[in-house]
Amino acid sequence: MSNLVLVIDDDPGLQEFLQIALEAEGYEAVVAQDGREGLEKLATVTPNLIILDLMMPRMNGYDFAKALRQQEHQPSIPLLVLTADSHAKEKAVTVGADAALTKPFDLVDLLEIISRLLA
Amino acid sequence: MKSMDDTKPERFTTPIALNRDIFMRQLIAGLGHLNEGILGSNLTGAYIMNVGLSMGAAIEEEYKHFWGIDRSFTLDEYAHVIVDLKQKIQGNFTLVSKDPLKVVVRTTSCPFDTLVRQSPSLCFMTSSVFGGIAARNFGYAKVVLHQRIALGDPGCYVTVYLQRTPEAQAAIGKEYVPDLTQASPDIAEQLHLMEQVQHLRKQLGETSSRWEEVMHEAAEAIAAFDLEGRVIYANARWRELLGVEGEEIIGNVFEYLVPAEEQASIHNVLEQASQGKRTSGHMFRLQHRNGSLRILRMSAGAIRDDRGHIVGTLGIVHDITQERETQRLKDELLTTTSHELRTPVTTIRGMTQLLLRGLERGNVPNPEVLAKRLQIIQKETDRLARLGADLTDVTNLQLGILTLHREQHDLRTIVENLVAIQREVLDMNGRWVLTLQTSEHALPAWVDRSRLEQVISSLLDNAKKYSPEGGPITVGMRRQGDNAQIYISDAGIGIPEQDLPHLFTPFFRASNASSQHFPGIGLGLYLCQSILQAHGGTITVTSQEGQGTTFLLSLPGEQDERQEQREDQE
Repeated sequence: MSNLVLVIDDDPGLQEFLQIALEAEGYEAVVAQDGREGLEKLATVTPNLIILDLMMPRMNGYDFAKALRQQEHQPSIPLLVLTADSHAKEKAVTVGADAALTKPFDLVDLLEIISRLLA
Repeated sequence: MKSMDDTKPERFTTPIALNRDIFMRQLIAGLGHLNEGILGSNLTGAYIMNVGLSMGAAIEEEYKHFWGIDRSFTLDEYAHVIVDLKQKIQGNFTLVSKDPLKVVVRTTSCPFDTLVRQSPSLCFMTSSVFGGIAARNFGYAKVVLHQRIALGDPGCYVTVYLQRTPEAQAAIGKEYVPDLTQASPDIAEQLHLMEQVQHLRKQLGETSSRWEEVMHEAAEAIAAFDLEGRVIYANARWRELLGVEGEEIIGNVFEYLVPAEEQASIHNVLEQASQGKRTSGHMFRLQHRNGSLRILRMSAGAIRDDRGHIVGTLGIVHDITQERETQRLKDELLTTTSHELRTPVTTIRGMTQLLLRGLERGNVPNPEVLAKRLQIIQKETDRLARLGADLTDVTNLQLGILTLHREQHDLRTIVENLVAIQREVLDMNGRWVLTLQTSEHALPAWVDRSRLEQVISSLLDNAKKYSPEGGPITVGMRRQGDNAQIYISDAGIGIPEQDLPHLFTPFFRASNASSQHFPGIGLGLYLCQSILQAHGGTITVTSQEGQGTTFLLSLPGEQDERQEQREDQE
């Protein structure tokens, strides 16, 4: 069974790209508009990885990450954070993410991190 | 010689030329509005000295006549005269000390009172009365004013040195020698002097009131301080900046008028200026009386008298609150613009790399898949182009350039077309329900179609963006009097009431929009308003936080067309 990745990002262009890129690598992708929708998706699916944008309306990435930690998934779901500013590493630590990428990131870096987190 | 104590005059008769009403009024009327502390007018000093010397000579003669003496005053007599004189002209003077070297008098009120505040060199009057009498009777005098009564402190020490001691030479003051103390005590000469005074007053008055006008109206806030840092002059702008009215600032130590944390640096600035060092660009914050926080920048320099001695400092204050705010908005714009750029660039870059990676692996997508991926790239490129165009528009608007290509259009056509395009996007998503309320009648208007489309698209994008939960979006049109109106309503997050007045300010973003990370750089509504205004129209907003927002566009209807319509109906 292929790995399932939950993409949480409010930008339609980026959603589409991530979905296509993931599927091209043989992953299955589920997309959520924001943190709240992400939590809704988690009620029905258990992804192997979550790709999370931080700046989103309704529920931002920080609040989503906090809520995710409270759900105590076993084993915990790896979290990859996407940010638009240069403090990606610090932000990743703040939300307890396993990895972080600064936009605009490189496709190769993205895929490498994904495969590492899923290994 | 009679001793001073037992011959103390019970009544001091004032020679007519010294009558306070005549003298003072003339003087005051002419000089009251001078600010020679700033203007540094030689004329003012010379003029006042002349009057003072004349007064002094007349006073001296009157006393000598009254006491029946025909010789120089003794020290005691001199001290008595100068103290007694001031009591008679409503100054409150007391003798502090007297010895053959110097006499010190303290004043706690001054005959010129508030007028001297406007014209600090009126203190010079006292100096020349005291000095003139002393020089004639002791052969030498130097008068030093330790504090100028103009500065708000009612206490002022006047020291009259009677001998040219090293101490006297070192002191900063005005020296008097007998031949410079020519008096013109008789009434005819006094009147002649008065004529000169009138003439001089006219000249000075005109010049100085012009200066005063210039300073008063200056856009810069200008104030002058004494060496203790007390305000001796403040123009209208200064008072306005500090939120003070009338005279209340005069005489106060300036540093105490600024917040505690700024006092040391203000003190330092004025201190440096008083040592002849010019300072500029010192910034400080001030809570205005109206509650707003002002950011001010102060420059200061020394004020010198005719002989180059530093007598005070001059401060010029610049309100840079707005400048700072603009700077802050620009910084914020850079951050948000960079954020807004990064997202489409990520998609374009990623999608391009994905296609190349496929090709390198010999994995050529079929035309349909390829087209889909290229469309994503195109869409994101358009987004970047639009961002660039918005920024260009703003730059042009700030330069006053917004060119419209106006033609006669039926607004219904423009709006209906746009709604049809948006409906496709919205229906695909399913979250929003777009309703069109069209008008039965034609809505002819003279508009730049692409600019108007830009406005409506921008407002529709906002309606969608700020209703993240989805919901109804309504676009409607109607005729209202002479105007054609278009409204766009949503049931989204709304706009906080306190943000409504600033909504059309460039780079401004409603607090709930920025705090909740809604994308945007705060230019859309500013551009909408500018475009509407260029058409002679208006854009207004009604909103309730949590309930939704309605934007109402109002455009002047096409007059000729309506005329024709009416005629058709008839």
